[in-house]
Amino acid sequence: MQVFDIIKKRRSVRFYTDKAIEEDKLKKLVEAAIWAPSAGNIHAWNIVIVQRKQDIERIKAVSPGVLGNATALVILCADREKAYDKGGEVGRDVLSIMDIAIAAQNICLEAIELGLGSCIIRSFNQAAVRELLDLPKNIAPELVVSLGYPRSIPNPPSRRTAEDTVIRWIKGENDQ
Amino acid sequence: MKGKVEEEKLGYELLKLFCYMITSARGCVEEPKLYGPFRLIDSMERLISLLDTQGLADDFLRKEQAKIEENKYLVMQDAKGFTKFLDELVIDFTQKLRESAA
Repeated sequence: MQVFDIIKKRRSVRFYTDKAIEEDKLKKLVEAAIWAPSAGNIHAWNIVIVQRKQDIERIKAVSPGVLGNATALVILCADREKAYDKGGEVGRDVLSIMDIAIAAQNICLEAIELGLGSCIIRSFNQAAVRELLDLPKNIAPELVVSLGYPRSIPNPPSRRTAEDTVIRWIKGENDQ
Repeated sequence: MKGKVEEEKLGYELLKLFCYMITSARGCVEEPKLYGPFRLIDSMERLISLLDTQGLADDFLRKEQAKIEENKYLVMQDAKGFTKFLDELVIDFTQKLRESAA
């Protein structure tokens, strides 16, 4: 599949079959995340993977945005200490979050290639998820990617056109 | 009479619902305005589902639950459609209230 096809094929999937995701596929998703660009090459983030049903249910209970029946959750967490040590305030408060967003997109695109569905979620209570996962204070859960083998895939919503999106295009002298 | 295990299970399911509602309330302080009605309606669907496991949901509630499940995601892409769906729910429940004995 061409990259652009994969990009267009990605949907926010929430309903899955009961089939568990194989460990090697989850490892591949982690690899995809690791190869995402990172500001200053700092990579101030880590991943928690949850596959046990009881724990997924508990996390869902404090995560209003985690809807449906994912069979795995990949939780991307900022290492705020490392981000601050190496990137200062902007590293901690902005760049580490952006890095995580890019890594999450990599996970979702690789998921398509592996026949998986995914959904990126920020509607969860960070303190509650940290408590449930027993994470140290400097590790902040920032995004959840819910995953599974799709049972149904939503229709694509409409998208803006390029003309509506690019508000200024300053072309080079030879591109007139 | 329900067994202790069943009661504990119900208690756990209710606890999960309460966690969902309280974290929704906290989230709504900062989240988009339309998430508020969505979380309320989603909570209602979960509550009906729980009532159903206890044999306490009637045909009306089951029908409304299915309607919620089918339409709640309109919030993500069609705000007007979502509002219209909420208006319909209001009428459904008001009619039910009018027909019901106190």
